[in-house]
Amino acid sequence: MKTFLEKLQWDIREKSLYEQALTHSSYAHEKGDGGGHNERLEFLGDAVLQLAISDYLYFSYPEFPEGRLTRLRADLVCEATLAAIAVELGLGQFLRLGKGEAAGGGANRPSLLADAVEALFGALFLDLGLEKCRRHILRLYQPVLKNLEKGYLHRDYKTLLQEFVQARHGVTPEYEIVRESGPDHEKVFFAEVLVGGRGSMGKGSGKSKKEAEQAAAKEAWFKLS
Amino acid sequence: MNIEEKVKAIVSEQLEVEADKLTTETTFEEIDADSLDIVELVMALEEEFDLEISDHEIEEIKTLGNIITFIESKV
Repeated sequence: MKTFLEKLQWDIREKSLYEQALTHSSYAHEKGDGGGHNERLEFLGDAVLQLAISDYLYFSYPEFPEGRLTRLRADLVCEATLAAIAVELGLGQFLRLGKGEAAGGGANRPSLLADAVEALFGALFLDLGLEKCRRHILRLYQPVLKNLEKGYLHRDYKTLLQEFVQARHGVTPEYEIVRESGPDHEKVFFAEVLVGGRGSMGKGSGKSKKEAEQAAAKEAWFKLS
Repeated sequence: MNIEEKVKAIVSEQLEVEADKLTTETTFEEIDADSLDIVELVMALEEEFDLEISDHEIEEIKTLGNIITFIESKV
């Protein structure tokens, strides 16, 4: 825990809040401390995150109508994005999980990681106030938001999936182009991603092999959660 | 280093601009700093000078000279 906070270099005051943010309910229940987990902080963090991102989008994209802003925000605060931020922070190894959850690979589960990131935002809000919390959120979101400016939202799903699968199964996902269709100038490629002996984890199509593989990786990534 | 030099060094590092090209008249628009860059910069300045800069105060800052005057008034 100490090393995690040191790594982040946040100017924190109340350390116990962050410990709670990284505590899954399975751990708290095991210790007989039913309320000492991160669910309430996650509730709060979710709201602060929505506000920080809405504010950013509102001022950064003055030409976007409400519907487009809403969709962008939904993508930015979704589980996959939050889990990617958790991976970036190396948060998984600091999660406090119950024995069963830990044995089941909970530290790599996107939903658990995403919840913990939201809980961290809740802790930041309580500890440092809205203004500082907002800045920390934007700082953590910077790579994602910079990508948004360039017109694409997520970083590379293939890399993301590879990091996950390697940590969890010790193998590298493999891609196969299973089908091509259409005339040469309008070809569509169909890809599948295979993980170890588990067969196809995701399918996707695109105008290039690379795009099809990305789409397959995206589907697999969402399936893992 | 005096405050002006320190500020220039931080801006140069955070926003990837050559320090030689920065003057007190330089505006954030000129060096293409968006709101995310400014968040990064403000956090770095807060850390370096051990002070707090509010969102309201950030809005008043337009040039490097503004930052320097502001920091000089706080430290």
